[in-house]
Parts: sequence; structure tokens; C-alpha cells
Amino acid sequence: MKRQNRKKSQAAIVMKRLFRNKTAVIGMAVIIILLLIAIFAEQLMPYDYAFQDYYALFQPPGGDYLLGTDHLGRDLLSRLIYGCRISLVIGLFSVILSALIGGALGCVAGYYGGMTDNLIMRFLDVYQSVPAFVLALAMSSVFGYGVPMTILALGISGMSGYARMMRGSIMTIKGAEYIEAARAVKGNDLHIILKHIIPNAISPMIVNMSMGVGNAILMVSMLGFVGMGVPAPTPEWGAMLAAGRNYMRDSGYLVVIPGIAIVITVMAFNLFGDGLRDALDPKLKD
Amino acid sequence: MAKYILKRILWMIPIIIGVIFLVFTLMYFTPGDPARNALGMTATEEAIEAWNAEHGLDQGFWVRLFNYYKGILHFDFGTSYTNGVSIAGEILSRFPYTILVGMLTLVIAVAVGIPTGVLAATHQNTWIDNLCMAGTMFFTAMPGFWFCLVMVMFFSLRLGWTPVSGYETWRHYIIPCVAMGVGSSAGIARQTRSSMLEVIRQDYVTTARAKGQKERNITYNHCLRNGMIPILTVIGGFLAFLISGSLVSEQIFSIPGMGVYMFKGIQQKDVPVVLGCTVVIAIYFCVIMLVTDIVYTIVDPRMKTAMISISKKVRKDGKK
Repeated sequence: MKRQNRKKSQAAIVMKRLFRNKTAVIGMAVIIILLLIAIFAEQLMPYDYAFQDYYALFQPPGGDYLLGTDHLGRDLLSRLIYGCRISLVIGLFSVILSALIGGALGCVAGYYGGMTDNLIMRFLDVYQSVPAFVLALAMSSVFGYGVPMTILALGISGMSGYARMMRGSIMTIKGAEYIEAARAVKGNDLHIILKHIIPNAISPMIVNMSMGVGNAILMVSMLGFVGMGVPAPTPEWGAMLAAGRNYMRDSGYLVVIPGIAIVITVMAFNLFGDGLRDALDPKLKD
Repeated sequence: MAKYILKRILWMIPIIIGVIFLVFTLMYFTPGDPARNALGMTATEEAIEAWNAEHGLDQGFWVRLFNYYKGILHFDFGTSYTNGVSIAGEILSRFPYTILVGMLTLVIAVAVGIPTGVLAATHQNTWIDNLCMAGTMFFTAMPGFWFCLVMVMFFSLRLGWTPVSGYETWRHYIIPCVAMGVGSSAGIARQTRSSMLEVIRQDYVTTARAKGQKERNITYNHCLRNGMIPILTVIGGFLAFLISGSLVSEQIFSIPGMGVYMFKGIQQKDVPVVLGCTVVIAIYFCVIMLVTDIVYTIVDPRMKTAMISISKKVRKDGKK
């Protein structure tokens, strides 16, 4: 009972600190709005995202089509709204996948140490020698197109940072007395890792994940821009930019507007991540 | 010092062997039938078998991997599936453009990022600081290629100051490098600011000021130099990002570098091209990281002793 109370107050302190941080609250509010847009995309879209109105090509913003139409007469706003779902789904799930794979590797390396640790770390040295985007490109050329495949490619290619981080925090926790106590009562390794180590090592991971989402969304748009990732006609923000690029001389809004959508989304996640980091560990504040 | 650098260079060899293994294994699982793709649907079984034998595809994984290593030792990355041109030659002619764009971008990123960070730190909590930080926040959230496009729209299409795309003169490189460089300077600026703020209240800075040093000298020689290590770490981390960014900006501006080649390879399922590009980019990245590590020791002599003692410690642990 007592323990429950203490736990609650810890979370309450973090929440209180988080809510005092204005920029973090703004970030959080924008994320919530974006999530709602993604969930209710079908209801919010004024037109179908693939509907082509050949009598209204390149309509500028304003008028019937609020943000204008593209080269096939498709409503830009509807495409942005549906694209929000694609970006958030890929961003969130690829980060979760990265954290799971990286976290597991980092746990094993940090907990067992010695030869296992050495092998995993050398593997990560190799892994990190390929820039994440290039690795994601190579992977998506192997896996193919589509949302699940892009999540897989981004998730696997982005895992090394999480692995290093998890290993680092586990190595500091490993020597703590409560771990020794758990060992002394013959808790098995899996139990110790899951029940004692991970709950104590999770907060830097959460901070890293919340900042990772923004980065993942940027990567998705880069993949989409060079023609990988999600196939047409699914509106992906990067792919929309790539398509709009051919008409930017006369219809600049086709390039400007999807870019602004990306900036707002990524910025919201970054602000929220920054705020979360400060709230969880005020010492780290820069 | 020379011993440390030598050790670091030797350490690159197993890393590169590992990278080739990693990427080769990954690309090995590419689905599809390259012979069918290259020869078309009407090709006979014999023709396909002959094509596979010619490209070494009839052998097992380990034989192919071994042959690939052997080829790379002679700088031979095989031939393209689609047009049979030697990949090494193609890479050799394209790589200089990628290096040029990458390095110019890096120079601009550093030249913009560090002064911005210094300016923000020396004017902490004023409107200058807030403006700089808001700017960096915007630039970190912004896709670099989008900034390239917006700058092209404004400077090339609207004002006509620079060419839209191409690679012949120096004017072609202004927008790709400036757009990408300014975009990636944000992280450098943020780190510069926070490490400046860390050292700015140190006693030795007060001492320097008390003995009447010029403010400029204090900022650059006392503060910045001591706060340089975390900044360099951030720059090192940004290099991966920067290389990826320059691949994309090559694509936008039709600069005939590695990026265009690699993206085309991916679209045409040209496995050896993608493999070769990935390997070369990884080696390029390793070399840049090596240079960053060496610069560490030049900027901050403390790092040299630290690194040498770490490598000694690792060796001792290994022996245990």
C-alpha cells in the first residue's frame, strides 16, 4: 500500500514538472491533435484521398478545395490528413520496434557482460558504420514496399542507438544492492531483467523514443521522397513532396504545404521529448 | 600519438570486413529473379542458366561472399545487372561529387552552427538567444530536402540567382550545400550553446576576465576550446545524417553522385549496384569517423591520454 503511494507520487512529480514546461505542453497538445486526426482520418477528409477531379487540376489554396489540388486534381488537404496517419503509424511503430530489438540486445550485453557483451558491441560497431538512412534504403530494397515493410526497415536499421543506451544504463544498475538481493534469493536471470532491471532503466529509453519518433518521421519522408517506402496512391508526405516538385514553378504550394506538415509533426515530438527529458531528470537540463 | 592513429586505422579493417558481411548477407535475401529481370520473360532456361553462371549466381552463399571479398581487394565490385557496366568504374567517377557535396555541406554546417551557438550562449536569456534557439528548433524538425526545394523555388525560380539543377559550375553547388548545411547546423548550434554555458562560469574564465583578457579571446580560446569535445561528438553523429542528406540533395539537383546511382539501382533491383554503393558509403563513413577521432586529440590533448589509457585498459580486460 505504502509502496503504491510512493510510486504514484513519483509519477505525479514528473507529470507536474512536465506540465509546468510550456513548450512541452504545446508539443503534447499538437501530438494529441495529430493523433486524433490520424484516428479519425476517414471522417475528417473532405474528399477521398484518391479521388481525381479532372476539372480542377492545380487549384490554388482557397475555394472549393481548401488547400488546393495536385496535378491529378486530388484534394491536398485530404491527402495531408490521410498522410498524417501513415507518418504517425510508421513513426511510432518503427521506434517501438527499434526500442524492442535494441533494448533486448542492450539488456543481454549489459547484464551478462564478458564475451557476450564484447560480441554484441563489436556487432554494433559494424552496424553503426553504415549510416542509418543508407541501411534503411538497403533494407527497404530487400523487404519491398508498403507500410509494414517500411516499419520493419526503419525499425531494424535504427536499433543500434537504443542498444547502446540500454547497455549503458544496465551497467550502472547491475551493481545496485537490490539486484544483489534479487540474486541472493535465487531469482532467475529473466525474472531479474524483466522485474528489476528494465523498470529502473526504462526512463532514458522512453525519452529517447519520444525524440526518435520525430527522427523516424523525417526518415519516412526521405524514403518516400526518393521513391521508396509507401507506394502510390497512398499519400505519404515525402512522396507528395516528390510529386509536387515537378510542378513547383507554378504551384509552389504543392511543395510548401506538405513540408510544413512534416515540420509541425517532427517539432511537436521533439519539444515533447525535450520536456520529458527535463521532467524525468532535471539534472540533464541544458 | 602515431601509435594511436595506427591502431585506430588497423581497427577499421575488421569493421569494414564486418560491414561487407552485413550488407552482403542483407542483400542476399533480395527477392526476385535477376536473370529473368535482365533477359525478359521470353528468355529460355539455358540462357537464364548461362546468365546466372556468368554472374556467379549459381554458387552458394559462402562462395559468393568469398568471391566478393576477393573482388573488393582488387577494387572490383562486379558488374551491373541491367547494363553490364563495371560498378567500380561507375563509383569511381561518381564518388568525387558525393565527397564534394558532403564536405562543403559539413564546412557550412560547422561555420554556421558554432558561431550561432556561441552567440546564443554569450547572450543567454536575451532575445538573441531565444531567436537562435527557436531557429535551431525549426531546422532540426525540417527535412533537409524540403529546405532545398523551398530555396530553389525562391532563389532559382523566383529571383533567378542560381541555376535550378546541374553540376558544371560552382554556382550549381550553392543551394544544395547551403540548404543542407544550414539545415544540419542546428544540432551543432544547440550543442555549442550548452557546452559553452557549462564552461562559461568556470573559475579560469573569471580569472581570464579579471586579468583583462579581451572578451573575444575569452570566448574563443578559453570557453569554446574547452567545450569543444561534446561539440565534436555531435558533429561526428551528424556525419551519418549529412551523408544521407547529400545523397538526397544529389537526387534533387541531378548531381551525378552516388545517391542518384544508388536510388536507380534500388528501383531496378540491381543488387550489385546497391551493395557496392552501400559498402563504399560505409567505408567513407568509417574514414570520416576516424578523422573525427584524430581531430579530438588535436583539439583537446586531454583526450589523447584518455584514449590511450582506454585502449590499454581494454587490452588488459581482454587478457583477463
